[in-house]
Amino acid sequence: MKKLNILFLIAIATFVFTGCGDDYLESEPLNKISSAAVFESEGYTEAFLYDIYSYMPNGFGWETTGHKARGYGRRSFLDCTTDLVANKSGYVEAWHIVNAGQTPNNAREFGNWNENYKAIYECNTLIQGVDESSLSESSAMQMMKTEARFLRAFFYFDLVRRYGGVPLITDVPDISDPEALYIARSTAEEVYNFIDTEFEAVAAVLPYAKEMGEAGMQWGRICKEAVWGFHGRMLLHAERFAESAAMSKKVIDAVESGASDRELADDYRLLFLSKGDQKEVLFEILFDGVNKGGTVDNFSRPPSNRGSWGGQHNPTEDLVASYEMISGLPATPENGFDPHDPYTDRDPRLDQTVIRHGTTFFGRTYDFAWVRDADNPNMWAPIKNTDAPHAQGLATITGYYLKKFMDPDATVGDFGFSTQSWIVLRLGEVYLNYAEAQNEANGPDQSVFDAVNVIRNRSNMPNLEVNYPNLDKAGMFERIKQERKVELAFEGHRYWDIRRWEIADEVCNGSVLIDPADPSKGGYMSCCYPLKQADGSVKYLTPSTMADVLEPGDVLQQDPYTNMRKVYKWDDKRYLMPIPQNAIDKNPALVQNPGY
Amino acid sequence: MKTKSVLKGLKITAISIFCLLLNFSLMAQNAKQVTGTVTDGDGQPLPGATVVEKGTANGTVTNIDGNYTVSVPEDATLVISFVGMLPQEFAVAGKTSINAQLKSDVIGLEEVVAIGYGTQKKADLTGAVSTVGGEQLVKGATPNLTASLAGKVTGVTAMSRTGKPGSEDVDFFIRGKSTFDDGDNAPLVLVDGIERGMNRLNPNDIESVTILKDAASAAIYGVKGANGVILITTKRAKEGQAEITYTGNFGVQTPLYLPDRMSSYEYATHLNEAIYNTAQLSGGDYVPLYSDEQIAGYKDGTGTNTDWWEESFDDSTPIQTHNITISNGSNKVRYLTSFEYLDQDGMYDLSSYKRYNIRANIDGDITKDLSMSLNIAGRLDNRSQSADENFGMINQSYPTFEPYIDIEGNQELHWNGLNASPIGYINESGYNRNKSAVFQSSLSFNYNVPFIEGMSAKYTYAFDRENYQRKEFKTPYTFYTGPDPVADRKQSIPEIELTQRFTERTRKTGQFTLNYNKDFGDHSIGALFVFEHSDYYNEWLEGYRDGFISDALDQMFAGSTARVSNDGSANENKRLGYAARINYNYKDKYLVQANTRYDKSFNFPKDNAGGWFPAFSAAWRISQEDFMADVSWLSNLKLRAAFGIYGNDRISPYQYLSLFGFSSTRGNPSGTITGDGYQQAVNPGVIPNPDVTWETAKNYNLGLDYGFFDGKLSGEFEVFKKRTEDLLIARKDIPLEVGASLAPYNVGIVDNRGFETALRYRNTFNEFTMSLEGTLTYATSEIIEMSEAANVPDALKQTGRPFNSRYGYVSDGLFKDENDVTSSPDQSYFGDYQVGDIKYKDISGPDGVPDGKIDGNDRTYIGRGGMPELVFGFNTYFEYKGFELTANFQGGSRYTHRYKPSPFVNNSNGPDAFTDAWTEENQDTWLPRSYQGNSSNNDADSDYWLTDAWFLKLRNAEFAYTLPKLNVLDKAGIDVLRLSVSGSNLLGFSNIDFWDPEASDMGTHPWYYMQMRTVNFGVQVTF
Repeated sequence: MKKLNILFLIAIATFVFTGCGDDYLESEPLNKISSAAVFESEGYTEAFLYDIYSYMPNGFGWETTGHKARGYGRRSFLDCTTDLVANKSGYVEAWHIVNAGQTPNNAREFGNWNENYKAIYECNTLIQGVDESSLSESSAMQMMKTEARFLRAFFYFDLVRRYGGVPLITDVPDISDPEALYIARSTAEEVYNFIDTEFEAVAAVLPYAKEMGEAGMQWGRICKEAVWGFHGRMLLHAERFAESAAMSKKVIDAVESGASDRELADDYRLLFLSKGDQKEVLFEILFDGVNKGGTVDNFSRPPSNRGSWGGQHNPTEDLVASYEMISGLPATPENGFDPHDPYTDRDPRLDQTVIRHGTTFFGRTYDFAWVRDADNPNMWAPIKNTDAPHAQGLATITGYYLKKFMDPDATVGDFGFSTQSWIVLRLGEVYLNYAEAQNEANGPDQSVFDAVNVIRNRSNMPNLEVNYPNLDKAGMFERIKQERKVELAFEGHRYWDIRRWEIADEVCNGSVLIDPADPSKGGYMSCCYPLKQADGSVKYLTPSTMADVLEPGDVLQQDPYTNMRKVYKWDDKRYLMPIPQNAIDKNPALVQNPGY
Repeated sequence: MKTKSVLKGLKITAISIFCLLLNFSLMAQNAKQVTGTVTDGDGQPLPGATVVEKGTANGTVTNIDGNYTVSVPEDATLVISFVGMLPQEFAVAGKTSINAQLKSDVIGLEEVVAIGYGTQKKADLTGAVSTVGGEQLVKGATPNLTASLAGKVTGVTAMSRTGKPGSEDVDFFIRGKSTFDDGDNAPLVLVDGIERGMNRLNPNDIESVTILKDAASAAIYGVKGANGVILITTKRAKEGQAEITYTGNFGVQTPLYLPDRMSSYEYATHLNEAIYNTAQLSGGDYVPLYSDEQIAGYKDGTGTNTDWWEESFDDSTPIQTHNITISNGSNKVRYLTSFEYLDQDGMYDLSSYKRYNIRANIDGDITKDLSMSLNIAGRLDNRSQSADENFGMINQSYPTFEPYIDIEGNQELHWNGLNASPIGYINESGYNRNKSAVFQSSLSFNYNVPFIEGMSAKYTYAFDRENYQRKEFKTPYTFYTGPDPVADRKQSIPEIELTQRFTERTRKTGQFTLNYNKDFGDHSIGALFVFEHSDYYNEWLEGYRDGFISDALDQMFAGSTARVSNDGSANENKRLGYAARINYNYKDKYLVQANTRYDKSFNFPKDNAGGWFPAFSAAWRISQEDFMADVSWLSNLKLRAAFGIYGNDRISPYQYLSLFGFSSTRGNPSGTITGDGYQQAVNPGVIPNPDVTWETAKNYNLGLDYGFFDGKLSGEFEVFKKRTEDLLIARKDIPLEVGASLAPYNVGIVDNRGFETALRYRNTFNEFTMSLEGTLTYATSEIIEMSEAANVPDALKQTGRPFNSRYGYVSDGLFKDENDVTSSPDQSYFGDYQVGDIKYKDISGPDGVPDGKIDGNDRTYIGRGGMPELVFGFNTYFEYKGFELTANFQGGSRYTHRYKPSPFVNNSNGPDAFTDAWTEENQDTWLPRSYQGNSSNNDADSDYWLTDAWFLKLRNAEFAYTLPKLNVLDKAGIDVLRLSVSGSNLLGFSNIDFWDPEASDMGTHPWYYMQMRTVNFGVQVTF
């Protein structure tokens, strides 16, 4: 027994003092890799690059799984704060912006300050990482560095158009000296100059879309003509028109010469169902509906096609009214427009963009009719629980639903099931960018007409010259504004166009519905209700037909389920977004934009 | 290198102590026969009292008449003791007869309490230590042990945030919060010396809970000690007869605070009023949602008035627990086994909690000097709830909508006006189950070194394995928005979805302790050396499928592979520590203790991985002084003082390394889709902090223990100060434009100050025993230094203010009239406002002076945080002829409770308090105008919605009767039969009467499972 005791003591001592040697605490993280290892591997560097790509703005909004969704609106289209779309739900930020505006202390600036600078930090990290890597000479590493430079310039472009000049940070910051990090805002011009230089440099190196495969790049990454296209867009914002026109022209020339395989799509509607397969697209955010997916179908379909979320993005009557007649003339009675047959002989893009009374889509023909109430013959009311305006909580508030982007074959379901791409840049825009820039720089020369006509012809609309043979510069500008409004509707451009052109006072003020069902607020009413008459015909109640359609004593049913909204009171300070207060708090060198 | 030499040094020290102690030996003396009688306070003979020669093992036990005979040296001192009595010492000094009358130890000075890596007599404690006996935790017990501790000890702040079955959501701190949110304020919990969770233990297994509150007692846990330590000791068997105890409780639970919603009449009336207010504000026309006829119908009861809460939930639900403990012991082997079954039903069918606890604590003597202990505990538990337990939705539902609708002769779910059916959510949305299987084991060997008296060595090896499984099976339910079976039919979600996640955690701990305790005449010495290492490994795997054909099979294979996805990861951590403690005690009057710990944590870079945590404490038992011998009314007086340093290392590891991580593919992947499909992405982690190290807390404690009148009145008073330095803080001085996440830096300093006091009165009058106890804890925090944003105005700085202080606007009542609106500072920053809305004070402008405008510059400190600074308990116990009454009250104050309900968002229902909202006719009220939807003016964060709250709850109470020894019982072999009625959360008092003052801050709607009031019927049988 004594022996046992001693053996026991020895055993313990041995176990205790040898069992955990000095290397006991030596360990590496099990779920992380060291930064140095990332840049010593092309695969890891590429994986890092894909993280940065996921910061590229996705305009479908917040309810997209797997995408950082920084960019446009967070929960709704950016165009929801314009005259094109009304949001019905109080929880989307567009609704708040319209009601109360953006302030430095609320989150209504879409969180873009933080997110863009996060993305810029990652770009700088990649650029520095490649430079310091032993693999830095490899062509794949150099290409990734080039892409990171493009992405960084793009994020600065996103910042400068939102906020004006911003601090320019092009290196990985050293946080050991906070004072040195208090960097003041560069001027907008300086930021545009930086982007200009970078875009120029990266476009020279990047392959054309059709050569990406040879360069080891997959579609979804950036190509040469896309950079030119973005460059043209950027210079338009910078009001450097001649340069902008030249840049967009590079794209057009490459397309026309065959150097680029990009081409205008034949079918305008199908273009917006792109899943990486539309040649008109220069850059898009792809989704697979599994790892990353959108929710635009779920949010935008009429309620009868969808269980829970229904039509959240409602095109306005303002937009519908601005589609021309097929003749190319404005939709007015003198041009053959019949207010009670309003959708006949219109620009074909109208029926490719909105679902209206009588549209056949998703395998059904929509009936949005309001009828006289059985109990109260003076009262017009929707048939309850249909897709008619205000017929239920999820029904449209304008009389229209979104058709653009809608995928008839989509798995409509939970968040993140939609697979259509968010198109960030397409050839159609490049033509219009060219037309506008060239018109500003040189007036309406033939190339301006050609650029607009190419877009119109695709949708079977006549050349501008047919109706407007003698356009001057200002006249052409009006045609381009019209063309951009309808061609690019909901793609996030209207928001910026309103700001570039400074027309918010004219198109935003009062553009938002107070109580859409109340005709007494005609000036603000931007909706259309088909009223079914006793003989079965339909008369359309819009701001312009109200006086004719309603008989004396007629009233419209009020919609108690729509939150009442206030008139969008425009204030010129809103041409720039406020810099978030917490950014100002943390950087004494930052100066807030005027008015906030 | 540095580490190695320290390690070596410690080895040498340990071996030297060994050798030194070998040299001590004992000297024999001439023996003498002493006899006597031992009696209790009432003069009755005490059989079984121990009589020993002091400092030796030589002694005997009194016989049935209390008599003893012992043979001792002439100059020996006799120590006579008995459990529950204060021991007495007598110098033999030639006497042959020594009689003793022992007094009962009301204060428990002789009680042995658990301390770090050992035990100590309560009388010898020098640090701030509280204990609760296990018997106090089984009376009116709640399933969550943490909640049961509240109010029973000083120094503990606990807020039970919810009553969800199986929930662990109790905010629990020792002496307040001392580190920022990023850190971890939870105390270190050790069950039988091993780091383990306490919430789901079987309360019947608990012998005692000890709380180490100051550095003197907790610094022996070094880098993990700074938030305090909770030591839980489980019961062990004693030598003796077999004992079988069955305890059963059958209870009924009801919600403590029910949200009072508006009835359909109130709702329709006040929603119209809100619509009117909104129209007024926006300049629109007032279009009521509900017509006068409808409202009349709601009023006279002919209209719909759906109480969605009633439709969705049960009024009361059962809970039952059963426990069997069997213990037995021979002189060689002692064992205690227990089995617990707990079955708690939630407020609806899918909500429940089931728990099975099993335990075996076995002690065996291998040789005379070598013994072993084996603890094995297992637990299975299962928490279940509906996949979409949407409390907010229930409370928002329109009461004017019917819960069911007739569709072609069937009663189907009707919607609630908000595109859902709460009944569907609760009952038909599928389930979400969390199961765990826990295995805990430890094996220890204790060796009483035979050649060094007083020295023992112990080695414990423990491994715990925890397996968790989360299974969420989401199923769609059908509801109707109208009578049309096709057009009005809606489905809640499009697809059946299944997510399963398996987690496995393993912790292995090894502990070696060397203990030496010896009395040398008046000197008593204790020494302890500890070596400890532990490692922890956690890994998990998750899978997902949807597209199930039906809900008949809830297994993964039955789903479609179209959107299948999975995920998994792992992490580990390791620790190594050496600790030592020395106690010295002179004549039981002067007590000194020093301890230290050397810890290494791999959370930190190598150079910062190791460090020392010393602590010193001393106590003076004034009542033991000779000059106090005549003060008969004073039975105990002890002054304690302590200083020590301990740490907190609870941050994510590797913050000193520059790392990239993979973003998860499940839930929030961040890769990019290309023409070749999904591309995985990696992204950079924090900008590392190469110097990161632990937080260090310096703690001072001053305590006074007292007892009067034979301990009938006793208590303690402690003041403490803790300064925590090197607090790990997310740096705020770095501009957002840096764009990176930052590792925490050791840049903050926080002071905690406070006091604790307890006062007890215990007495017995004939057969009536009573015990009253009051406890009070006051703990505040002040941020002395932290990283603040460069431009943040003083009013919003956290420095100089307590933790979790609230910031916002200062309200100035409601606008009384138009004149008030126009003459007050401009509030249009929030949007439009009018009479009846909240008015704010103009605190400052951009230049630091009031500018006539309310905007972001007017935000300031508006109140304390949501944890009470002052907590109190009041515990009573009465016993008379087998009848026992126990009641524990617990309360808190000096905290703010935030409650900002906003009804009528999306026309939803809301608290019935809103029937009292401001209107032109009802101006004398506290609630501002209500609106249809949010009001950005009234919703701004302000002190308007904060209440300086207090509460007092009857946390648990028990009335019990133990049957007298009857023949009938005896024949059935029953030793004890005890019947009880008990309850928890039986009464509540607060200045917040419409809501649970313990609940977390509530936003628009009460999104939570409220605390339950439970009434139990219990039986205890011991064979």
